[in-house]
Amino acid sequence: MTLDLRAKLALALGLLVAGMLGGLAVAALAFLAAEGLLLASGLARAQRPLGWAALGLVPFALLDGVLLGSVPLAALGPLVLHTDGLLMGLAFALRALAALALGLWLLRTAAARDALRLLHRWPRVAVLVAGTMRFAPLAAQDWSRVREAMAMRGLEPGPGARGAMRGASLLVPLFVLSVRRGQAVDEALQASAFGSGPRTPPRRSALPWSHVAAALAGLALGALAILRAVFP
Amino acid sequence: MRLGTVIALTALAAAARLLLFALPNVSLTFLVVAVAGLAFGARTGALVGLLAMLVTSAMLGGPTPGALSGALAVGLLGALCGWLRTTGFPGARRTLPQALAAALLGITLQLAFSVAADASGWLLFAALPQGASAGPLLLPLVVGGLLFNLPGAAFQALMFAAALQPVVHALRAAGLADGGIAPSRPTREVLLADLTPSR
Repeated sequence: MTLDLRAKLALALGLLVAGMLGGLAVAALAFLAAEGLLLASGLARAQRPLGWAALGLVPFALLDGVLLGSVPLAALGPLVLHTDGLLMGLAFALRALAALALGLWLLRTAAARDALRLLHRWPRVAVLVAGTMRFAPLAAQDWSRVREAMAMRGLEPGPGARGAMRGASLLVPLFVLSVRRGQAVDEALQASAFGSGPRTPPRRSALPWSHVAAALAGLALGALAILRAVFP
Repeated sequence: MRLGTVIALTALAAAARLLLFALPNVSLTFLVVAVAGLAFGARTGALVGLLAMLVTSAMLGGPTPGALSGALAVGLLGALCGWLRTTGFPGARRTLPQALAAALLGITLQLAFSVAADASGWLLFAALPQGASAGPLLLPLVVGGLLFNLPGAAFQALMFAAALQPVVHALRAAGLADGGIAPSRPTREVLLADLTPSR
């Protein structure tokens, strides 16, 4: 899906606000919508971090079930699992997963040039935001590459203190690669005399009606959720 | 200040936070912010901390006041690491006192962030019309937050003890850090020298 960045931001913000302020059903819908955006953008690989996150959230949902609520569901010794507490925990997990899915969608689909165009009045901020958006996925790729290279040399992190030290040593090449990449950007910025004079303004282009509609839908969704929370 | 370096480290911190999203209060972001401060100075450390937390908090929970206060707290901690750099920390050799000091720094960063986040959250709640009477007391909130952050602090202690000195030293040895000891060495040479295990 090649939506304009402004439309993407409005849509993500609307879904995020609705998911945060709504109940369990709205949180589930927000999560499903975020999943739909990820899949429609061809980002099936993003399911992996989402799966890990879902696993990590299970203990918290169970903890909510034990600590909150009043309708008992099951008991294990002194611990009583409550149905309503469990549903609250489920809603919390769905909100967190929806936020993560939307964040991944924005990060993986937004082009750096869109951020530069959006923030062109503040060139340094624009370069910072666009660069972070461009480099964050590259850092994740570097991590995979370094792990594979270390594994080929027989330096896989194993159990125990020695294994943990080996695991930590994976971070050294990751930092060196990242800083080298950053310094290449510094040299390119200096070579282009960045910040020494007025910049060429970006070419203005009208948003297609479908993008405007998506942005308005997102904003309307967020506004409705806020109104419903303020005037229940 | 080098804009490209700030961008690269911010991206690394953001990726590290997203990677470990499933584990609450466990993140490599503090390590990246500490390295930024120790290798490149207070301004870079502060900016990397501020931006990484702002970008990832906005992605994970929306642009809330809590995200802003957390980002400010991590920015201050990055500046603190920049001040530590002037004391010569960490040294060129990997010793037990260095590792213990690094572990202590990791624990301090995690717990200081917890206190800052809880205190700002309490202030925000107290500002609500019904918050002053119905809200939680500050001290139990902060103590509860500290207890909740203890596993994260233990993780930071391990990561800082194992990785802080090697990472900062590798950046300095490669001539990549401000005030590095060599003009520039190829990445491969640095990695072979610093990562080949002694048998």
